[in-house]
Amino acid sequence: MNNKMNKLNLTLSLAFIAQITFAQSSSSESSGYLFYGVVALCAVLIIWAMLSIASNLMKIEGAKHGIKEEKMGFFPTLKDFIKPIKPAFINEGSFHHLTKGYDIKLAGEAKPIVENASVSRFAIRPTDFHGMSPIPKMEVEAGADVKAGDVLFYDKKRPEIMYCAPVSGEVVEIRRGEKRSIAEVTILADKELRYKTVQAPDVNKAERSEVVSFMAANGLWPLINERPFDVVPDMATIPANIFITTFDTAPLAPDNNLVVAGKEAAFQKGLDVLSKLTSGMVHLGLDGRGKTVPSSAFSDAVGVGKHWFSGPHPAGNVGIQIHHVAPIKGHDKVWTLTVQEVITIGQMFLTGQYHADRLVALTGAELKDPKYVRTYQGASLGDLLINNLTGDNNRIVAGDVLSGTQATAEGFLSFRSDQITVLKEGNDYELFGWLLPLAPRPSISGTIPAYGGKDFKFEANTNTHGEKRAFVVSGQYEQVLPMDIYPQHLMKAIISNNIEKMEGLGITELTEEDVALCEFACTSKNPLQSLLRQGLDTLKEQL
Amino acid sequence: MGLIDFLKSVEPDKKNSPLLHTAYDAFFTFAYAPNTVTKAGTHIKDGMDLKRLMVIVVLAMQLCYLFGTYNIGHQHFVAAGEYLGFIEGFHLKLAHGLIKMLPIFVVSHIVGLGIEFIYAAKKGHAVEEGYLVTGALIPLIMPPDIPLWIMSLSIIFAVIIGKEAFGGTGMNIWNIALLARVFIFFAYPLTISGDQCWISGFEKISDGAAANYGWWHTGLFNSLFEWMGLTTFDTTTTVVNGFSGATPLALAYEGGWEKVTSVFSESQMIWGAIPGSIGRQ
Repeated sequence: MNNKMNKLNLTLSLAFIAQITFAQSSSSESSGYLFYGVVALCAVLIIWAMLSIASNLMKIEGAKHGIKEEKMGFFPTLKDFIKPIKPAFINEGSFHHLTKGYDIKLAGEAKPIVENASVSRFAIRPTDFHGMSPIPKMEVEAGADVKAGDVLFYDKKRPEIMYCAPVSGEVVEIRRGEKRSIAEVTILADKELRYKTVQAPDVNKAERSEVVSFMAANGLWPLINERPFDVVPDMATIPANIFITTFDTAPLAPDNNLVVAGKEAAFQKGLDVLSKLTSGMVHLGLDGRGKTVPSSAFSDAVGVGKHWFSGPHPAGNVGIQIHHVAPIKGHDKVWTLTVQEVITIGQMFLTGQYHADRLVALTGAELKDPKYVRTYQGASLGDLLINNLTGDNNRIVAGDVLSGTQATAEGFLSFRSDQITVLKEGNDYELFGWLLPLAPRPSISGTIPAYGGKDFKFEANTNTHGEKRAFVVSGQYEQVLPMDIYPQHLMKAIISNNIEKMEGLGITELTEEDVALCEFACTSKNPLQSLLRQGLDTLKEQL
Repeated sequence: MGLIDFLKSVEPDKKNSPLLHTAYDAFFTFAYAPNTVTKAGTHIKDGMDLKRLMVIVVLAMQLCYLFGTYNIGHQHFVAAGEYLGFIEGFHLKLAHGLIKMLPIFVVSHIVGLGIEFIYAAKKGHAVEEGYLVTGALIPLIMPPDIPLWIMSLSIIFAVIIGKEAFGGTGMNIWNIALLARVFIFFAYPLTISGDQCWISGFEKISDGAAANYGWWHTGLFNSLFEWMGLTTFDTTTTVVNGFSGATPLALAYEGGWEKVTSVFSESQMIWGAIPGSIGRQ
């Protein structure tokens, strides 16, 4: 934005000067005025350049001594005039305004009405957890009756960490995939859920180890995601910090104010539990864009660090927030959770029961009725979408369009997803589609006309809009990633399998969702998310 | 039957004639954006692709082309001592400029894209669009009288050594267009440096040398201009006495700023109405 304004100003002033000089040279025969005008202009430019270098040097020196940048330097920068307006409701905590990124505005936003979904089948998939052995040890058999919170299976490498049933009912199928790996454990849910009730330790009095082993034994541990690598953490790990983002900027993402409504106490309890687990702090990323006021459960949470973020997607991604609050250094581990997962942890410590209910946003232009439904982890997509699809050339995405996974109506929500997006398949040819894009499509490029203005909601389809090419240095990745990282160099390091370079370029700070927007914007249509995962897997093997 | 069905019906066999198939594929994807859909990763993609990116760059060069083409003609007539005002003899200057520029533009694309097609067929991937920009840049940095075979040689050298040897578009370690110029500069220095090469359309640049008009001038454009009642190319045109063809830099080397301003005015140098490569303005 700032950069664009500068360019615009420069172009305008150059055009203006050219206009004057041209008028002069045509009106009088002698071109002396023009010449001296140019010399004077150059002199002014040189003086300005020297002053601004001096001013920048002062700022750098000032920064070494801990003086804030704004207090040093000669000139008011353009930033001073168009400073981000900090919303009035921000009461405490730091404020970060991010300028890089892009909001993909799609049609089919969920209406803020919550309905209870009638879903009969739920599944937990071992494949949702990176690094888990393909054949976990099953604690139940097909036909067994389970309560919500009963153990379903555990990883043989880490037998203390239990994976539990989100609902009560009958285990109807244990579906096997390749080489007898376990793909899905499906439960046919009861009409009225029955919960296994346990005695939760008192967070204020209990030891950390007691809390940890309680969480692992009752299915709460897999809710925690560890960065780098996006894995379920080891029980011995003590994280440097825990990060929770309370808003989601991804296309059509659910509104966390709705999620937390009525569950404020459980959320706070969850935060209290997590504070016990880290050597650092629990950090909340809050919505500082100013459009909506965050729920008081977020803004008035106690015992946590608060950080407000404003700016386009990916400002709501936890990875971006970590980068701006307390970047992952060396071999540090950082844990991340979503709001719904914190609530589940809180409810366990409040009631002693495993409440894995999830508010799921049904979104996308191909839905008759986009809305919110209340269901449980791993709900069947077919049941959620019944009588809601228009047409049959659709793609169902479990998650958002950037980092979700492709699914069918026979599939299930993944362990962490809280959104379903349905959009049109783009499997048709388009005459001169690359040159004359007639149908509106989202793009970060100014060369594609913004039909319908700034707030137009696109009905995007899944067409790739071009073929795969080699990387071309076009600066698009950097334009949409508000981090101090060079994504293209990192991707090339991954392709060439250069582990040292990968680490040096900051691979440990990234996971798939952070580079998803770069992948969307990529001119060469390269699969950045799968490349990044490949790099993370290689790095993990080396450790 | 729609256009797409027709195009699909003439698709050559990929195994039997890979080169033909590559060429077909390049033209087909030019006409139709492909119907491929996203597989893993993001489910929607930006409308921008490499074709569009490159074409936008080429579009941005068009103003440069327009002025450069006209300036070829302008410099030609300045050397002849005719139509000294910039706008005077507009049609003749434009016609001469086009006669000089178009062959360079066409040959640059035929040679460069030809190499791209061959390599794409050999490696079995789609034709990459990088050459669209290179092919449009090369004419801009060539003198207007460059022999086409020398330029073709330079392009072959630059594309193969500068780009294909390293894996194609996006993996080149040098700028292809500049490498082509470097090749000419070292292999055929007289065609791209000195005082002789920057003014087109004369046998050589010395007093009284005759203009070098071909069929395009005297046959095509003269009859066209006659029919329209405009002035025509005069075959008796010669280089005016005392004209050296030197560029401002060469003049500055000889006699400093005074010498430069005795030939060119400041506004001529600012606007670029001086001898040089086609796109140096």
